Amino acid sequence: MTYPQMARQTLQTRRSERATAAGLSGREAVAAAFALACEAIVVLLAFSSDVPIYWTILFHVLTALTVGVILFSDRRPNEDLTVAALMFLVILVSGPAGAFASLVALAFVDHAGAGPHVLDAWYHRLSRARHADAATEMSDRVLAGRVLLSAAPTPQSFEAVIANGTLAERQAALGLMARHFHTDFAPALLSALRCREPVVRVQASAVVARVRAELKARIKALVIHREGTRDQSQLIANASELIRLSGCALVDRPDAERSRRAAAEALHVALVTSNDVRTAALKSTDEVATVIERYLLSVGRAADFRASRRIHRLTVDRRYRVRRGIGRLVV
Amino acid sequence: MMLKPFPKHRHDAADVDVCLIVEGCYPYIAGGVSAWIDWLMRSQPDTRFSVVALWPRPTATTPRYAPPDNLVHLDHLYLQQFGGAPTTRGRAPIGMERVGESLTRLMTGGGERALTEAMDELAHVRRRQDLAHLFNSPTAWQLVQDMYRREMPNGSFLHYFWAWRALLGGMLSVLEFPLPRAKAYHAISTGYAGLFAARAKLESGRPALLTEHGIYTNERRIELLMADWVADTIDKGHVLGDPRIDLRDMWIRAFEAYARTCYETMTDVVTLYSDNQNPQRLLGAVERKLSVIANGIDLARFAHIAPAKAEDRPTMALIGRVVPIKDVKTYIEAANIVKTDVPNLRAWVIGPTDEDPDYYKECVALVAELGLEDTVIFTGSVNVLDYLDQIHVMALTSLSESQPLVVLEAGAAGIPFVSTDVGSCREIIEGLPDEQPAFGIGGAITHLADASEIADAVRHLLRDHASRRKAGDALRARVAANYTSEKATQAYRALYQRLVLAETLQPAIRGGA
Repeated sequence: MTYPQMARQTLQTRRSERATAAGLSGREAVAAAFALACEAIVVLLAFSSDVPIYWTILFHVLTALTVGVILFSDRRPNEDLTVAALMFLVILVSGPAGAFASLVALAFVDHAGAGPHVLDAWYHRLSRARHADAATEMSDRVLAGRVLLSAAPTPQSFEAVIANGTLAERQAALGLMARHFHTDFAPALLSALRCREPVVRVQASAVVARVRAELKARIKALVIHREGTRDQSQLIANASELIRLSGCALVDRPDAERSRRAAAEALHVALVTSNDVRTAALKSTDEVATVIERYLLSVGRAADFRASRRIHRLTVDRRYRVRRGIGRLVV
Repeated sequence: MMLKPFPKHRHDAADVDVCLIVEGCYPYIAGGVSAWIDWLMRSQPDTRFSVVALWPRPTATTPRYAPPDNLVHLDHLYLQQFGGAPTTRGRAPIGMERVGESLTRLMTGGGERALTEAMDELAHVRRRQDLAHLFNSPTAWQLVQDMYRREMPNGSFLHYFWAWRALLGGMLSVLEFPLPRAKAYHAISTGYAGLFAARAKLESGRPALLTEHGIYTNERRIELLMADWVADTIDKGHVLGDPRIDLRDMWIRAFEAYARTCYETMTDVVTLYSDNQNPQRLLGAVERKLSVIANGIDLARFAHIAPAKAEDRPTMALIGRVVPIKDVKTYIEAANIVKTDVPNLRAWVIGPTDEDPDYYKECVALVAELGLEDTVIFTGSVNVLDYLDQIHVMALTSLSESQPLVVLEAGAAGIPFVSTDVGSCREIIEGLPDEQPAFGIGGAITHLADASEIADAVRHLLRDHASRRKAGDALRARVAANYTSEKATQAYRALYQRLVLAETLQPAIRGGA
């Protein structure tokens, strides 16, 4: 069994254990409901002048015993019986009020095992840790020596590391590429596949397999997202990323084609009118502006292309003034 | 099918020759290393085996192998079940600093001496309290703080605490498990299995052997470097070589330390092919201990297969599962390139297609997109022997392999092989530099994920009949000389005889449990 598998198994086990973390097995709810129903009868008996009081007490004791049987029979060894024991005592001592209180309390006890936020808050209470503000947290990280070292050298080019680095550096670089992949890393990754050192090749192939799967999933998600949005800036951002992914050497040929098609469709929807083009050009980064301009040229919208380029240049150079005219933007 | 139950009683354990120590495979996982272990025991009928199977915790899985007659007993060692119920009583014994120091040394640097010292310190603690208290008690709290300060002072203590429990729990499970008696111990990987074998050798004075198929430490390192479940608690940006130890470094360092301990302690270190020996040397395996015993195949199964005729339809084939790690798409791209010069090409993909249905669909879509429906044919699971006499060239585009049997099978059938540079493929196809007699080149080795290079090599072999025949003959001769089941069986028989008959050494450490 591999360690990620072990980690996943542990998480699954913790999830299943969370349900029983507070000592709940489901039968507590049944017992509380049963007790409440029986104790309602006890109340009626208590107020009835025809029934002697010892019969009422006997009925209450029988109810409590039955609740005990429901709660404690056929339990696993070492099972947490804290909640069950408390319930039994409360119902035995407090009668109808105890049954009612147990039922209400169960909702809260069950809730305590429900979500990570509640558990997190519980942990903080237990550890007496206070929630610090961002500045304090940053200060703590600096004092603990967990922030980026100010004296750290500039990160090296991954391609240079793969070509000339030590074995440990190459392996660390491949780990970083795997965890924080960007399409610009593809050449370094492909050169790692050709490395003379077998250990590096093996790791590079594992990274390639993972990255390919991630790229495929990312393209799929972007295509689905494109189909569900009409927001211009989102469509353009989506198209820009799809085009970047389609140019990555690690993307399969059919996926690359699908990406390009989806990007063109997104731009087609986002840039219907000349006004759309001008609005988009105003907000674009260089990369996105290039995507827009290429698209406009590919569909033969030369005038819009010129407008887009002019506006983007002015935006980049900070030499523009925007007036809102009647129904259109004027630069 | 109901399998014969595994023997669990040690009524005749004193007669065990070899105790196999396996982690996460036999007898509950089919194929791979488990199949090899089953083969090993059955191929040595005169040797009496026991097996210690290491698992994280008890598994509900049923055994996938019937126990061979020479398997005396099977023990389970659970790595994640160490430690008793928490206790708030008791005080840490005097000298806990030394225990923390020795355990830290074992977990960070490893080595035979570190293991010996750690075992001595634990024996010292054991005289005063149950070792389980090292895990859930005031002693444990003192120990974890001490080890944190030594090992990962900049990282998050909370994360360290849980990682410490996982690592130390596994380590103590291995050091505390009752040692089965045997004349020799044989671990099938480093990691916890290797650590157990190292302890067995030092405690019993009997020899211990390690056989590595893949390099366990590398596999763990790759997993850990890519793992999303390991938190990065120190911001190192994209800077390589930051000396601060974080969680990921801690895990990797621990597995390297266990491997170093194992390599230093073992009597013999065996692997499947020579490329695997470099990482073993890097972690302290000395040259005199190293050897290669390759897996082999039964040549008789392939004796009747004649090479495909020159006038038959030109055929290349990939034999393997249709899964991403085999990079079948590169194979399809290569077939597309070959087809430009060999129009009537046939490119078989022989192997199950149901393991990753999505990937199979993508492969079929790529075939359709390239218009190769008449060329690339997915056969599904078939009897490979029925196809071999129609194949001119075999190809393997895998991203990762160890010692793929398919290369040996092709060689046994006299079919030249084009393979990516993975595992032992280069060694099988080209031979070792000092091969005597030199059999010649049995095909071609290419870079990974390079369809053009693969296509060039396949095209050359398809069109040049003389080269193809020569390569096929070379591969057949090399497989017959080096890669037969009999050869592997004899090598292990000789090794076991030497180890079982070896003199018992003075135990280096006192009794464990």
